[in-house]
Amino acid sequence: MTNPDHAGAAAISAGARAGLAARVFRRCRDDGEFRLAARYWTGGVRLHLPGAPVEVALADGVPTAASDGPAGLLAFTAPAETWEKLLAPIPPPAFNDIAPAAAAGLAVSGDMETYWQYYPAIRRLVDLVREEWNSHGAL
Amino acid sequence: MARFDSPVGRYVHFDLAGHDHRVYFEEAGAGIPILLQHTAGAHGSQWRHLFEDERITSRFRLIAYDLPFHGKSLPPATDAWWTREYLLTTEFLMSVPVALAAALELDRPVYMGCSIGGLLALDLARYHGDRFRAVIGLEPALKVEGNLDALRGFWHPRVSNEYKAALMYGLMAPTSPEPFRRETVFVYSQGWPPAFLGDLYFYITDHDLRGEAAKVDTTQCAVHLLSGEYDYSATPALGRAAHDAIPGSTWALMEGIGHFPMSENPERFIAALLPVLDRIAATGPAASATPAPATRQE
Repeated sequence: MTNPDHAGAAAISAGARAGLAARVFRRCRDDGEFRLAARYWTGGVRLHLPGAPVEVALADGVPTAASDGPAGLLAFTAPAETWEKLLAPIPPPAFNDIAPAAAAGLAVSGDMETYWQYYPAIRRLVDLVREEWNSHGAL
Repeated sequence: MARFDSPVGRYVHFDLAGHDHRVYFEEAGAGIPILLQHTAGAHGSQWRHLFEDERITSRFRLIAYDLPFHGKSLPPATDAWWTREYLLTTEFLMSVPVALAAALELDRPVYMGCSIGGLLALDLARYHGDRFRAVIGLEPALKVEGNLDALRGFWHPRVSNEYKAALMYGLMAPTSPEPFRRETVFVYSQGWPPAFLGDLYFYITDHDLRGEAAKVDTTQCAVHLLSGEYDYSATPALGRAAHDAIPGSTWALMEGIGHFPMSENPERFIAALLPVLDRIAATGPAASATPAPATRQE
């Protein structure tokens, strides 16, 4: 079985991969919108970006040091070309958010009620990943 | 001295489905009346930017109303509405602008609506074309495919309105001004929790004009359609298909705009709207017997 973290890794520069998870974690920890949207959340979210998986764990709404699969994890997988469009500085139509990208293969696994409850936080997380992704010349 | 915006709001009573309704509306401007229908689960404040544009209000009387169960239009006091699920039907939705136009004694007004209102524009042109001189459908479609059962999270006791509101963010263009996108999301967070899903009953289930579109008489009621490039729900392809099915209609693609043109990017939307309004103003109460050809911006 192919590791979703490795698929399409060649399309992403090494410079962008290096430290992306740590940078995103710091952005989440310091971002007012994410912290408000993630209030009371104990669990986590993982984006299987090609070659650069990002995971944020939370305890009662507070981002904690990234761990290996916290309980209540929501995981997102997608083809590499879908991630590239979703994370483009200005995403094209149908790739500007999580929900429309589902039609292009973005899939979520985990508890759907948690997904609905914390959709605003996940949506904001994607914003922060996009900013970090593009600030290091990934695309 | 106080600084006021242009619209003035008040309530009007009329009968809908056998019950007296107290409907809120705001209006500004003078000239040809335009009734303005908001999107599902929202209210008339989405139209606020149009009220402040003199290129429009110098020629048109804008009237933005809140559907019953939305905004300031409270449920009727004579109906036990709380005992059954709220489902918006085509028949009821059509009856609102028709009854409002009669109550305000408007002479063949223009109707403009977005999303559910954009779909409604086509229903009104088909079934009430004698009452409107023109309809403008924003994000229109003859039929939107979907499954209400898959939208349980839209009205769930353990999921707040913030979920639905945040979803609206992705329906807008990433280049639309951030404050206006946030305001559009904010409006969605205000609604009565069952309203959005109940409105989508019309949007996904009840509205289907595929077999009727060719019967729309655009010589009686002109049909103008506008689709936003970033709308992944009522897509540009669906808007174009509606145009293709309605002889004499016009359609244009609004680039850099999503599902909420009037509230997410009013400047760009008004630029697309003004040519349509110019045509309506030049035509008069009865639509031209020789419709202009379709327009398209690509």
